[in-house]
Amino acid sequence: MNKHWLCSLLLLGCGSRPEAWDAPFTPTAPVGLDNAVVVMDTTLARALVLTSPGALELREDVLPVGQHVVKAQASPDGKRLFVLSRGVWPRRNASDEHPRLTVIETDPAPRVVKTYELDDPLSGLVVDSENEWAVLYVTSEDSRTVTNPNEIFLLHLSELDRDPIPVTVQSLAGSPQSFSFTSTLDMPNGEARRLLVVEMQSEVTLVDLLPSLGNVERTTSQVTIQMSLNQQGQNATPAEVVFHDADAASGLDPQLAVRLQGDTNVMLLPLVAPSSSSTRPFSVVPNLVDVGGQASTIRFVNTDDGVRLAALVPSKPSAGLVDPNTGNVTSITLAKPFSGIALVTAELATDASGTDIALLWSNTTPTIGLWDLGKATTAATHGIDTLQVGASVRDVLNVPGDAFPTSKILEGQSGDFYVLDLKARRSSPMVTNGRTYQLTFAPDGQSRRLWAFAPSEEDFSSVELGTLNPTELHADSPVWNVFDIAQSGGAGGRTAVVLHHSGGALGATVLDAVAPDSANTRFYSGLAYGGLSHE
Amino acid sequence: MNDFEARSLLARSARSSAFVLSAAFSTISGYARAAPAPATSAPTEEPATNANAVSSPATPPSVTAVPSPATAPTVTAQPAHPAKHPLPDEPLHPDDGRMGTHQEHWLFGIGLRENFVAHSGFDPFSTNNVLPQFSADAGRVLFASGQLSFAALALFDYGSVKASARGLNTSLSVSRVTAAAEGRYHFWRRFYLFGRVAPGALYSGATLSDPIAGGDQHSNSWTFATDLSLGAAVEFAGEARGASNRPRGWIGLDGGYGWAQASKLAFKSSGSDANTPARLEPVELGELAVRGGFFRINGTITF
Amino acid sequence: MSNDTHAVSGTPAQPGSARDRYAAGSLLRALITLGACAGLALSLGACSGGDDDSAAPLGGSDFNGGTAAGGSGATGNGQSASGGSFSGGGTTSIVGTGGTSAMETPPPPEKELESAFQAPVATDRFVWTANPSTDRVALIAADDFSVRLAEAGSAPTTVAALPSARDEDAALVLNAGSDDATILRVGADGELRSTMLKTHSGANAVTVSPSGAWGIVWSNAALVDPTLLDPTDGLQDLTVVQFGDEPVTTVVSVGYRPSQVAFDAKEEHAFVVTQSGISVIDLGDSPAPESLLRLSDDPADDAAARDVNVTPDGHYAVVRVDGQKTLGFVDLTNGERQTLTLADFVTDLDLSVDGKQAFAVSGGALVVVPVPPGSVDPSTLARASAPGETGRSVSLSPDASLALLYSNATTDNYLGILTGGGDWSEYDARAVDLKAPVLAVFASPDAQHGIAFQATAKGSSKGGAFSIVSAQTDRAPKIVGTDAAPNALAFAPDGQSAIITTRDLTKQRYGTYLVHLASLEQTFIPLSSPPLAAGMVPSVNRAFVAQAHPEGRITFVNLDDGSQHTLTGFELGAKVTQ
Repeated sequence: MNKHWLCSLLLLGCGSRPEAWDAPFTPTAPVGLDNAVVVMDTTLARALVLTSPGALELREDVLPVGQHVVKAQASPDGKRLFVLSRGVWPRRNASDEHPRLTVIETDPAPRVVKTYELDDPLSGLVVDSENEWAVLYVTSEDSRTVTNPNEIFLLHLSELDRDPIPVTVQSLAGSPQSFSFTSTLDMPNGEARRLLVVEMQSEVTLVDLLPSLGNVERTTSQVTIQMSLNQQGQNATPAEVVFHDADAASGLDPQLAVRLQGDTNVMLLPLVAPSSSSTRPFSVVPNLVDVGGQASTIRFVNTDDGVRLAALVPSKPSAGLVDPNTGNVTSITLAKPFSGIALVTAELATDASGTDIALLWSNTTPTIGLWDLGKATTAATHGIDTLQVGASVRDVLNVPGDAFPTSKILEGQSGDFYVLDLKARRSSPMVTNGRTYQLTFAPDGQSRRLWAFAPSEEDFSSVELGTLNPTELHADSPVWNVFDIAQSGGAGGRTAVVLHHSGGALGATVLDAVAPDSANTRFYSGLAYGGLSHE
Repeated sequence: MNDFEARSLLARSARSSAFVLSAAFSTISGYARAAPAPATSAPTEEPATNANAVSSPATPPSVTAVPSPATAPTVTAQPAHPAKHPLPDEPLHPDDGRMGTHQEHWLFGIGLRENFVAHSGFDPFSTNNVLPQFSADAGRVLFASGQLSFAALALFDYGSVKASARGLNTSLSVSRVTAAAEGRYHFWRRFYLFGRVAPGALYSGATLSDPIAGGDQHSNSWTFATDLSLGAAVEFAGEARGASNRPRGWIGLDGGYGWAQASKLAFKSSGSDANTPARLEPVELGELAVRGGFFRINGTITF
Repeated sequence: MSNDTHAVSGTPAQPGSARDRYAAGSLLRALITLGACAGLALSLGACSGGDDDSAAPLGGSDFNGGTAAGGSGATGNGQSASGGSFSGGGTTSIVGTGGTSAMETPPPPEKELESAFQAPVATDRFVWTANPSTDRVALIAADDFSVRLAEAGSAPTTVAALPSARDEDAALVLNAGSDDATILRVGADGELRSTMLKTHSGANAVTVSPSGAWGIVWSNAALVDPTLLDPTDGLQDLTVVQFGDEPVTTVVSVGYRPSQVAFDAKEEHAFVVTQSGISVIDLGDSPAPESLLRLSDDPADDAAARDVNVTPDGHYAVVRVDGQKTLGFVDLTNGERQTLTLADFVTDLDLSVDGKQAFAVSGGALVVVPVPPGSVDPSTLARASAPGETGRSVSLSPDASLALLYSNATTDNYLGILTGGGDWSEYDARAVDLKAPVLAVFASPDAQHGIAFQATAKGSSKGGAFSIVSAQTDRAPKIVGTDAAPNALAFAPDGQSAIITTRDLTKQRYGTYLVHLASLEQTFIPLSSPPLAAGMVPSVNRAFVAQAHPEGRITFVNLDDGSQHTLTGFELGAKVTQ
């Protein structure tokens, strides 16, 4: 009203500026791609794509995404970004935007490659590690008058032009809590295929991912397995699902195994041949196995005695090797309460025996173990070598790329981390200054470095993995996140992008990722204004 | 700049201008009224025709035979009325009916200029398109012929706006210096229309306050600017007599289009702030062209 | 083909009383003896209690391992002061010349532990287990471990294998919740068919005739919580089932508290051992009780103290009474009774598999009695004993060529091994020290070996023990200490191997031993859950151990190499929607 009065007084219209300038800058957590960093500008429904055309250069492209972004996730290969948005809700006009999924690629240049309009808002998104499928699903944030919590949409990433495939996950009483994908499994009856494993409160449902399957058939071919009763007489909750392909040599059918929460049992789900009259690719015959204690994790491994399901029981401490064919458990006493396991066969195997080598770690004791499963049942030590590290391990990170295949990064509980050389059986501590640092790598490992930073600190570090030489670096503004990306100019270089964010400001410090030097940087600010002004 | 700020600035400018104009008006009016009666102590020997000529500018001066001094009636100048009860409308001098200083004069003026900048480069600095400015001008009518006259002026406009851009504070100050050529046509001695061309230069100083960049960043530039306007002025104070050298008061109103060359908005740090990141790249927000329609209201004193 | 498990009879401790009878003689001596013995029996009455593991199904929460085919012979626990006697018309008695004493006291009663160890039901191809909570019966194929489920009535609890002439597996399931029974048949084509039968209320035991043509569904008091039984609960109803394409059931009444059911060889009659006597049921077109054969003329006779053994052909019943020196023989065809008095108290009794001989343990020795005894002089009966072992109980091999003498009424580490044959006029005997008190002994089907369950030896830290003894060869016994007490045993039909389960619920130690008898070696296989029962599936050369688990658990053990396959969650497959 006052404005109109003023305008009347001035006898001429005042005009106004685009609302974008009044919109606060509220970004979501940045997402790193192979050659770009993407920051979601949620209030303006756009993606700020930062690329580095050349050394110390930063280019900003702005791409439209849907309104009210709820999730942005990169594909595992770093080539695509998936942005899920809720659109305008409730929709009152035909022009109000629908919920949508926007697919962005950055190679050779940032662009929107596909947009899918959805009928209803979805907040859940998970992308297959093999870049073949993505799943959109309902979460608790998507409450509406009537919600189908089991409704999901499958997106075949190899066929972006194909509409999302609607599937209602079969369930007796639960709703999807977690999704995982198997690799291609040889089916007892029919074509080899992948399965989507949907974990619910007390059930596991298997959804057929054969691309050629029709929508109706995909829905009706689902298999739902109710979890067994626990000691309290209630259906157990799945905590982890692992899988193994069929092994013709041992007569093993494709297998899934489910670790149950708070239960000493593990559920084996062999996929056996169905009855002769059935056209289904498999039938599930569940079996329960008591591994002697609550398992912290499970993994299928190849031992000298064949394929086994390894279950770590830190409370004993022991590892149970379950024969999926017979359900028999061989309990192996462990020297330490190992709680985590990762297969490092590809990195360390020197023979063609086909048996696995596993890395064991503990979140309570400063010891790791290397387990040669080829000696699991024959050697007195069961093939386990232990190695002292400086702290109990919170997590183990793989070093991407091919430059350091035998290296792992152990994140300590105390904030320190260790570079573990599996081959040399040596761990090198990287002592931090007491804070808990986040570690990041180049997605393809080409920079041969890892980056350690603590949010809101100005100092950060880069460690050259070959020499283990840490380089102390300084940014002139508190660090929000650090990304190591490939330069898009084609010269093959790499750029480290250190993001800074405060209120409505977004900036970046750019430095060379291969030879980082605080004295050789460039600082870019005002990135939140990208695309708002005109030349 | 938001509405409140714009109105405040306008109000301040208006108040300042009004105050100055009022002061000028008062000064001029008072001067006109308080001017002492010329030669009241001695009988005047001026021919009566002068007074008559002054009082009736439309009446051709009558020629009256001048009586001989011996036979001339004794004319005794009437002393002025006592100051206790002055006659307010009694002209001091009779109107000579000439354009005189109504047309040819020096001029000094101040006013308020309202610019309407529709260029997108202005958006970061203001929530609307209005750029109010204080305006001052000075000049001289150089040529007059009949009702036409030509004046040369120098004008100076200054104004600033503030806003926030996505939560960060911004400001823009614009100064314009122009030399104007103004053509006038007096419909009446106290009223004329004019057209003005005023090329000159425009200085814009933009500031962006980015905490990540260590504080304020500036983008300053000089550009070529030109105003084209049409207006009118009316004399509200001053003697009717054209020959009068006494100040006259005018109120003018003009409007037109102010064009300025576009300048790049590239914000840089001054470098003096210790918080400024090293090798800070300028923030480029495109171009700014302070151009658009405007109107100006001003008060002028002419001599 | 049913599993050849050791059907250890389940007769718990009998009440002790004494009464001696003299054919002719001093009434005064009889009265004095009677009074003295009665008094002594009263004081001994509290000495032996019921066995903890007897009769009742072991462990489990929701899952019921079922009961053995053929029913059980358990007749309850406890002791009473009076014993049984044989008198009255149609009765003859034969008195042995073993000598008497004025103050003879019977030995403490032996504990019949073997009956607690019941095997789950197995047919030729399947192991059958019932789940009362889901009203289903799981059929586990012993060859490929596949599981199929069959719907039964409400709360199926008891499963009994049905012999079948056709190439099929069949079982009868008693549904406690709906007072009916379900016949389940799986043909060679794999098709499962079920038939429902109405039964009397409270049925918990099944006895099937050898041919499978008849079945008796009855109520065994030994399987019922004693606190739930009223003295007026006679459990006298039973259901006669005539199997066929259209099964027919008939409910009849028999004597008080039946404890055992048998059939005659022609399967024309069924004999139900009750406390009232033996009820004879005519199996004709309309089955009906035919007669009640009394086992004693003494109305005060304590039927619970009897140990009744019916010959496999159903011709005779041989009766032993705790605390007496007599054996009673009842001709089930005409009810005639005969009494044979031995020289000493008869502490145990077993019959040969052909029913022609009765093996009584009397005076620490094995007395071989022909059935019927006829006019045999008890003093001429063959006696066999092992020097150094005073046996009170006997475990007999099916062919009656191996008898294992032991005693569990006292702490006795010794086992008498007697091998003979025929009339046992000649035999070999030796006693072996097993280092720990013997609780129960089982003779292998081939009469070559025996297995003894033992308690914790003095000074031992083990939870229990078992021993493997060789019968025919003079070899040292193999004594095995176990972390938990043995609780179940099953022999392979060929007698070459056996499975023994152990469990300690307190320390949660569970396991099973695969025993290769020829080599006296054993292999320990740990289990994750408490074992309930063990059995054999000879057709696939596997043993199975049923375990307690909310979802059901069974472990199959290959008898040759000891490899195992554990199946848990019999009904998980039913919870798969596909």
